[in-house]
Amino acid sequence: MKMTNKKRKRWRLGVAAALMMVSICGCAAGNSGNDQGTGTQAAGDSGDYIVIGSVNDLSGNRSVNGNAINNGVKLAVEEINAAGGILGKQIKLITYDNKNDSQESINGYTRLADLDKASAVITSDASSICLSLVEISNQKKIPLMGMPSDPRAVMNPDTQEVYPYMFLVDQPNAPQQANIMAKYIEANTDLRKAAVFYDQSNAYTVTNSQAFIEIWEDIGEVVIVETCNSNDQDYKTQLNKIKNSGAEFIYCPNMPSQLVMMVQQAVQSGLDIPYMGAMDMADPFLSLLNDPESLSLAYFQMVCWMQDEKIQPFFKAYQEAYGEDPIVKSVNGYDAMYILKAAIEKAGSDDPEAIKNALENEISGLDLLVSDDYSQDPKTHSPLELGMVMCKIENGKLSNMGYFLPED
Amino acid sequence: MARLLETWISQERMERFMYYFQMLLNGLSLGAIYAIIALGFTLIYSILKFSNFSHGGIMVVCAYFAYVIQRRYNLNFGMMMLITAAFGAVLACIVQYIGFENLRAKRSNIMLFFVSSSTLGILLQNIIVITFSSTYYAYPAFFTPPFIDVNGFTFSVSDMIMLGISAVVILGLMFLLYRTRLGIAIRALSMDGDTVKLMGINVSVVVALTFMVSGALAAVAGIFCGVNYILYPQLNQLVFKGMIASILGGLGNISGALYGGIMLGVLEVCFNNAFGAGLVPVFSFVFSMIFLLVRPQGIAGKYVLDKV
Amino acid sequence: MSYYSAVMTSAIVNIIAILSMYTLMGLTGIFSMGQAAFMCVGAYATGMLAIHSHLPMAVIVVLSILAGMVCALLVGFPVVKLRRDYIAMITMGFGEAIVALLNNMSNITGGANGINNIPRKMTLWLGVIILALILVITMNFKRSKYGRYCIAVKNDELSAAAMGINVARVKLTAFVFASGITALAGSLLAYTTTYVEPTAFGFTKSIDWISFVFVGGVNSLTGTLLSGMIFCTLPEILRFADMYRIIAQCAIVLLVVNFLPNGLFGEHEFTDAIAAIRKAAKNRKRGNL
Repeated sequence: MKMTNKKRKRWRLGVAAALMMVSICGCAAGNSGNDQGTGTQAAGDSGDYIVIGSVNDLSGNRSVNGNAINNGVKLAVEEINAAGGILGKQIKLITYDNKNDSQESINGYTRLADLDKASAVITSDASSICLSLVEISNQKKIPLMGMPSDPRAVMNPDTQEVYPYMFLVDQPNAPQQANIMAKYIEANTDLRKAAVFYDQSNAYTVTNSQAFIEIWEDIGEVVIVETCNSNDQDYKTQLNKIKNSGAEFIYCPNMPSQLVMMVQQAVQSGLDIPYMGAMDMADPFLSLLNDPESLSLAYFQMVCWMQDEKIQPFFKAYQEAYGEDPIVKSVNGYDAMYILKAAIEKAGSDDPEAIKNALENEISGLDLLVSDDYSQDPKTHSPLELGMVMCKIENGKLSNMGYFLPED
Repeated sequence: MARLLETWISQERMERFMYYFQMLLNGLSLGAIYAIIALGFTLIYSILKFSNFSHGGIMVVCAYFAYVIQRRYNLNFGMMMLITAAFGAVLACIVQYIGFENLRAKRSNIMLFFVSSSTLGILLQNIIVITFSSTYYAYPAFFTPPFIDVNGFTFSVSDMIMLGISAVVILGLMFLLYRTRLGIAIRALSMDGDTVKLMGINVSVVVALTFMVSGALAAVAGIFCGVNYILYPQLNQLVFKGMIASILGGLGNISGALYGGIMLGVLEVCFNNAFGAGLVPVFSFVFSMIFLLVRPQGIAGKYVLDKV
Repeated sequence: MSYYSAVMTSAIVNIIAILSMYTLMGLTGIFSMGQAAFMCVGAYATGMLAIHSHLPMAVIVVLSILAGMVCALLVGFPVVKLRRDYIAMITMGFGEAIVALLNNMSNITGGANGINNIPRKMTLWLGVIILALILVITMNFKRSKYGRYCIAVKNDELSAAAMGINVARVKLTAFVFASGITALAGSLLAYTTTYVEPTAFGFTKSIDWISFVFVGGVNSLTGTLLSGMIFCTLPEILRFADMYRIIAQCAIVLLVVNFLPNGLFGEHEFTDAIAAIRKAAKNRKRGNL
């Protein structure tokens, strides 16, 4: 008995030791493997590859957006490589998952910078991820392109200085989006009493709604502000309050899943006023509704009109590659890669510093999915005067109201 | 008298009353979901004495499974429910086999059941994230119209069906537990596993059958979440509402799960109404803490200080 | 900061948090599913103090630990009288409540936008020193009177009470002590990532920590340390596997729980191994003589 006990103990220790050895070997092997993967290419025939990193939310709470962006980037890279690459070199895309976690993103970005020697990194649309990468990007000096909604991710609000390696690409930031929406409502409707309903645990909706409230107070009146949490399922209470407040429309830049529940519960609560949403009202939102016709009127904005002639080649290629329709975020990822391509071509090399300078100063007049004449503003590291396509849903029918950019 | 009543029931009062009554109905419908989750959760607790967090994972996998088979074979609601319930039962059985069979055989520490179940929950959720993550899904509309309007009060059809199913399930479970041999075995098992074994009852079979029932319940809960809300992998986290509901109702008490669920649903709507949705978790937390201090056995439970 | 030191630094922060979970789960048997909330408290205390005050880092860290301990005292006071699953539920509720509060008080906490621009003051060596310090403290706590009370309470609450141990008080001590360490981890986290936001501290984090403790060994500090090291570096080793990493992690936990129910180390510490070697050496000497 004692013997078996001892044996078992020894066995257990053996397993522990084995696991530790595996992890250590794995560490060494993983790194050496990676060094071989990129290192020899860099050393041996350094001319052949340009390494581009992608740190995205492939798992975790924002996996829908993260996967869409990453798929868009992958598609663009395949196209560029098939067309002969950039500067005669093929692109090697290295994708790391960040689980929607700041620590993971920092590790992934550092790994791309130190081990993989990436020339540039495309990251997520989550402000939290971009904000946590600000500090490390100053150290590692590899340009980072993301779609953060929070302007603090590219610019220090106190000093008004941009962070040199952070770039917002391919879409206006949240306050600009709110501004576009507010000005559009002002110009095209006579609705003036707003109810604002946002998810207080989601940075994007908070930034967007607060900007909207500020802008709208000059235009009309915000009669009620209601909030919810991201995993709430029941919105009837807030909707009832909104119904009783006499608001003429609801401004709700929430996530698609929340919007679906909200609209369905609003129908049940007998609330039938127009919705003003953000990009999350784009497809597949309408197809998720039980009864799309119950949505009598809604306006929202998109970076591009998905049924546009121009988008069709991308749309088809995406469907072929991934077996599903692209969402707005896929367009962002795809465009981001083409912006990067333009920057590398302008820079004439895959040196991160040169790419950064090109991204800052030389991106202008690009023909992308979101705009025929896309420029990057060197002062704000954000797109220069990028408007959005306004869309309207009327009784379940989606229609394009044209490109809109407010004057100021 | 009639006149007096008429003046007392002024327009404004009537409206207020209507408003609060509608809120109560909303709370009930929210509670119905919590209750049905709590039922499956508490069933496992009653025999194995641990909180089965893999319940949420099973729920979410079943909800997506139902979506897939519905799309492929164009099933009606009843058929979809039946097939998914069967699938849920099988899945729960597999989960039981992977996660708990070995632990039970070794009479492991109860905390290991907890670790095993929460890991399985995370695993199942992430399998869904990986398979279905790049877009959202929703069921087609099963109930048209989705709600009924009676004198200005609206009832959601699916919520009513769900409350009905919860009630039927509870009656069924009561019948199962108190009128059948299997029920006697389950109850005996919940008291003393060793003695039950000595009485010639195959414990593994009884546990597996209980897991199958709970898996079927998880499937039903998952489908209703999908019908009422929308499909997303984080639906898994509703299991914690089920856990709170079953604790408030009295852990391990079948009918307590229903009371707890409904109470939690109504309370959340009340807090939402009074303090705004942002602070609901804060008040729920304070309430459940005070409630448990005052009545640790829950609404319907018996308090036993158990050995770990 | 190179890649390796970045990975090690963030691993150390997590290991400190996992060590705090060891005191709770491994020693006392308290199911805390909201332990990450105390990390959140520590991180936010540090974030706000670092942004709005000019206090030195050491003071801020100490204040953050105190903030965590005060919260633990408030929550723990009623909690310790409750049963296992109830504690799990209440602590989890506390986690959600903290997140909701932080989101709601956006004028001082930044709400869902979080706090950014926290100076990065955390270095690898500082991390190693603090980790060593925490290890020594936890080891001493385990060996102290209170540590032994904790083990007694974990094994059997009724008989511990019968032996004259004030169960509630022992649990409360362990809870406050552990939460202080968690808050320290949170404070260091804020100094590592330079950005804190409420959603990063959900209960999945707490559940992960609990399973790491069990993989290492319910009652072994060495095991916890080791499994913390494995699980905090494993995601980096498995980078190529992208989102399949979490599946690998779950599979390892399930395998260990099923086939090594006492974890990798069971009740053993590395000091046991040293003692055993010494003993063996002595025996051999005796044999030779």
